Amino acid sequence: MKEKLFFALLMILLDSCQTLKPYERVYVNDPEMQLSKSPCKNFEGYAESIREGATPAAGSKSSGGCGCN
Amino acid sequence: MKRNWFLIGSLAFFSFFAQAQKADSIFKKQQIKKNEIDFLYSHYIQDGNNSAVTGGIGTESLTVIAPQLSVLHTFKNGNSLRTKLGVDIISSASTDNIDFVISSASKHDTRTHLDLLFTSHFKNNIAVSGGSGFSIESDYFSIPLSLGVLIGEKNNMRTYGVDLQVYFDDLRWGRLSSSFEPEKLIYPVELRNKEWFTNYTRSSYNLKLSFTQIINKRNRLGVYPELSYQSGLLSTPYNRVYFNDLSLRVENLPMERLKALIGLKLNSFVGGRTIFKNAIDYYVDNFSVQGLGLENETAVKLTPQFIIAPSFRIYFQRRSRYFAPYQEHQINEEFYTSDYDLSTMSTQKGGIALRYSPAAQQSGKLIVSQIEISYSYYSRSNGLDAHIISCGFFGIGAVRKSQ
Repeated sequence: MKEKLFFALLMILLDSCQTLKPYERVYVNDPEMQLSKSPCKNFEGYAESIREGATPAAGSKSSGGCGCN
Repeated sequence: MKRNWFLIGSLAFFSFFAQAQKADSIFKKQQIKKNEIDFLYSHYIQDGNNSAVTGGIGTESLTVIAPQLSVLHTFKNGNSLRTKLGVDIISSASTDNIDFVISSASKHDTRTHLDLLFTSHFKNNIAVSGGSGFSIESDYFSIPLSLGVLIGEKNNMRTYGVDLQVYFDDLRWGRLSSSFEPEKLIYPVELRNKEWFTNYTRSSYNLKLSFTQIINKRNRLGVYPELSYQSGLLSTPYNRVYFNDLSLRVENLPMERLKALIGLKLNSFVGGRTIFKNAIDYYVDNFSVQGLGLENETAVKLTPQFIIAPSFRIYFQRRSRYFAPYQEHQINEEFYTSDYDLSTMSTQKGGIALRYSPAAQQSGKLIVSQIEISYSYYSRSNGLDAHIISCGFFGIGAVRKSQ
């Protein structure tokens, strides 16, 4: 039930999206508004992925390694 | 009448030369060749008292120094090649306890990793990327392969991405020894009387999806579902497990692991200077681990070039069914570990980052797009804590315009 409610809210949110003209994108095109993490944050995410049982979504892992120290 | 003919004649004359100038213009379509270098230096210092090497007790003191260099070369046709080389210099007290020889050669380890990623851009906002590389340390060798497709809508409001990553790992010890030959799995010194595992390889298959959407003038959303399947040796062969009858064995985990996770990110520009970056992750796997992470970074533009960004993250985890602390496992259990990374826990991380973007003020050929320094303090509810310091220079390079 919770999952259905979550996806229903997500669909409503996406359905309400506006189409922006190029001159209206001054805020969303700001470098800080990009969804990718900074390399410094990526390293922190890599450390978290080792010290926690879960792997973060959209994680930055690009190479193997046991992380067993 | 004469004036009208003069006007028409003048327009015809200038329009002729205007066209002629267009045809013979020296201004052709410019192509930009660009090489960008990123340099990142990270320092990780950890301490705790639940080392898996010593069965859930003992020091977890660890220091990692991790410099990393990345070069992005953009070709004339817009395709790009990213080469990333990094070295993790590891000083680990727990690794020392594999053979209980303090300050032995095993205390220091080095992880070297090289990654190549080629990205080709096609019409209709489609980018296809493929990559490979390697990662090597004394007890690990890994070859990653990746293939990804990113599709953007024409109006740039929405993107869809699919990324398939495969890792082929070999867990034998000895690649960094004098012979550079992998020898065998390494077990704790008192448990080397038999071979605990016949398989020394591990394969991982990750399917990563991404969906991003500009919601309105001030909000951008990303949804990231992932599925991951691992098979092979998932145990760490030098982790000890002490049972409640005082017997001792090597950690044993199932040979397959299936993970599912979903992440949401929402970036919001509030007012004229502040950006809220919110993220939520939910994770579940067939080891019965469940995790929920919540993160916020608030970036404040003190000036157009200077940003201060405090951040906070909390994470809750339910333990794996195979985990039990020191001397709490039953001897008749099939799978067992005392690795506290798989325990029930909560973690908190607080940090701050300073970012400076001097590019706008530079007129010379050499450009640094951004300088960043960050510090975070990480604390786990079972006593482990860590300090993470990073410093980076990003987008270093010269922009050359060819005609």
